[in-house]
Amino acid sequence: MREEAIKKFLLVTGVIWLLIFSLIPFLWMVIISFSSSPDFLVRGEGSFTLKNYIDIITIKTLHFPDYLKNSGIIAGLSALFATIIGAFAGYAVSRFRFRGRLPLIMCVLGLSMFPQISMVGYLYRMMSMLGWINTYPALILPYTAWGLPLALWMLLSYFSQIPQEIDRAALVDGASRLQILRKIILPLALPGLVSTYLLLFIFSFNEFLFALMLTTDHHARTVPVGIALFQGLHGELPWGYIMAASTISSLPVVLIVLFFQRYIIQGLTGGAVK
Amino acid sequence: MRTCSLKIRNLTKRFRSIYREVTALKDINLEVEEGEFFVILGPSGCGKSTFLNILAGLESPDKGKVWFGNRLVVSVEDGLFLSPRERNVAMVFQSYALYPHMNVFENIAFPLRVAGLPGEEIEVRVNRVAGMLDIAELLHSRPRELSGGQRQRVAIARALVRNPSVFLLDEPLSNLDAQLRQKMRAELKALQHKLRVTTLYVTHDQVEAMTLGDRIAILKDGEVQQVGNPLEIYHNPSNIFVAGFIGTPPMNLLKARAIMEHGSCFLKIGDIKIKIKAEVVKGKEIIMGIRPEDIEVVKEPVTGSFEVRITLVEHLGTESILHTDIGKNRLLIKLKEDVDYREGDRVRILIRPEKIHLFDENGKSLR
Repeated sequence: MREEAIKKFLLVTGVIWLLIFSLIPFLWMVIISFSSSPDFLVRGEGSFTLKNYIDIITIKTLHFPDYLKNSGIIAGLSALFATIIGAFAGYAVSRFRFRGRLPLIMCVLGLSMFPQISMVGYLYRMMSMLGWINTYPALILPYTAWGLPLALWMLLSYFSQIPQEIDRAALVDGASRLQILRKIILPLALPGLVSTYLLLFIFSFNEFLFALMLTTDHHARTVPVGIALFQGLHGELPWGYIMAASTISSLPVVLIVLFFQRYIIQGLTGGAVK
Repeated sequence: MRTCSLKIRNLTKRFRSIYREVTALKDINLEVEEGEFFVILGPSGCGKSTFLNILAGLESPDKGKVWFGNRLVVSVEDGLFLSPRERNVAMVFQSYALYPHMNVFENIAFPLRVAGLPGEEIEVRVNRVAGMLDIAELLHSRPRELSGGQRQRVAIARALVRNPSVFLLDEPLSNLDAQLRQKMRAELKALQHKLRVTTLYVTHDQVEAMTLGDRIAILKDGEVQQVGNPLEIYHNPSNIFVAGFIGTPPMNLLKARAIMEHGSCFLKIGDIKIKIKAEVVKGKEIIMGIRPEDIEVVKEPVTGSFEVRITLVEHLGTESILHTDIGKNRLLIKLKEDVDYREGDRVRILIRPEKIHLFDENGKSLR
């Protein structure tokens, strides 16, 4: 019994410590976003206010609503494209026994290991040649490509769990491969599609480096870059605005994870056990 | 119903992997008549499922031609290979392969929807086939809510709903328990008899093959061993493989030597001599086959009878199986009634010459 009690005590303190460690910065962020002085926690000055939130939404020159809109569109579309392409690729790889199938998916996995910084220079040149700098496609294209390996691998593991005899039955029933994908495989793998889409959305939504290099202003700039480049008129750091903006932009991701946590955890570990 | 005959010529299929090449089907030649219930029987790994897949259009052969009626559907030589949807075949799989996210109605309707039939006609046809298979009350259930037997019916309904020209079944009953299997077997036979659709049925179960098939083809290692109706195959097996595969318990196969005495031919097994009718070259090693149910137990020492010692008795209630040894061979005897024999008892048995099957040393029938 005593041993059990000690174990439980260690577990609980460990969990509490972990929670404090990872949540304190967020707590700090939220507190400062609601206080009238950024030094609130140090000097104890300042009081509760909504001014930071109202300002970043209403002051046109801060462009925060633009950043949110850009982020939403870019992350939403690139996740969509990557999921669709990944579904086709995953279906082909899971169903057709073609030469070089294994090397192919290994290469895809290898490609996803490249550090982003090694690509960003070429990406910049490419996008400026295309004249796409500071447009949505400049980010949607690389995000789609960047998300594809993850999409392919996740969907591959989902599709592999669907028995191939179902495909064969549908083929004999007269369906084409595309009809099988649309009417049978995709509905059956819907949880996998949802979790893939959400993960890709979160990754793109949080991405910083590409967005920093390939955008120049509020026409295409996304939230992470926007917040990092917030500056007061006179060069000072507007901590209140930064924290309020960070809080708002964390919300979509937090909500997604809370509502779809079952899907997302399944997606990350899917195929690992089976 | 536009059902049709089948003709298969020189069908060959090889599977290649990095390590080896396996010939799954060797030069298969078969003809199946219109409306026939044709069973492909063989042990697992004999290539029977591959054969069915080629007919369905799921796999392509390396050589050979297939005709559905007068229509050539596969010809490797002419580079012709029609896809499943162009062949109008229907198939029932061992695992049923129902679509888990659709209800029974949609499962059955799927082939018709894919074919683009109007909604009212789909409704009429699905209801008709559901009534035929006695699953009309299940139309709104999902496959996972059904029992194995009900799933099997849905799979059959889905196959039959669009009036296929050829109906293929790949071990459809092997996932059912024994009782249900027997019931479904009878129903399947009645259904096929009523619809008269050309049916190819693959199984490893010789009882299924014997009870269902108008004709049976026995396959081993990708080669057809024998084709014939069930009784022909039972009475005249063309080789020892077929002889051993059909019948429970299987035919006894004993190594023997032919001898001549007083102008008649005998087989010598150990120190026992059995008279046979056929003329066999003297001194030749041959294989004698005798079905366990063809051996008679006699009370009196009639000519040609001899005694054997029982090593094991299997009591089955209505019948019993005696295990005995003759020479170095095991001999099984099936009795029509369950007599209370014990291990170690001696029984006198008679093997009648007309019941004996003879095979040469390679296992080919000498008849």
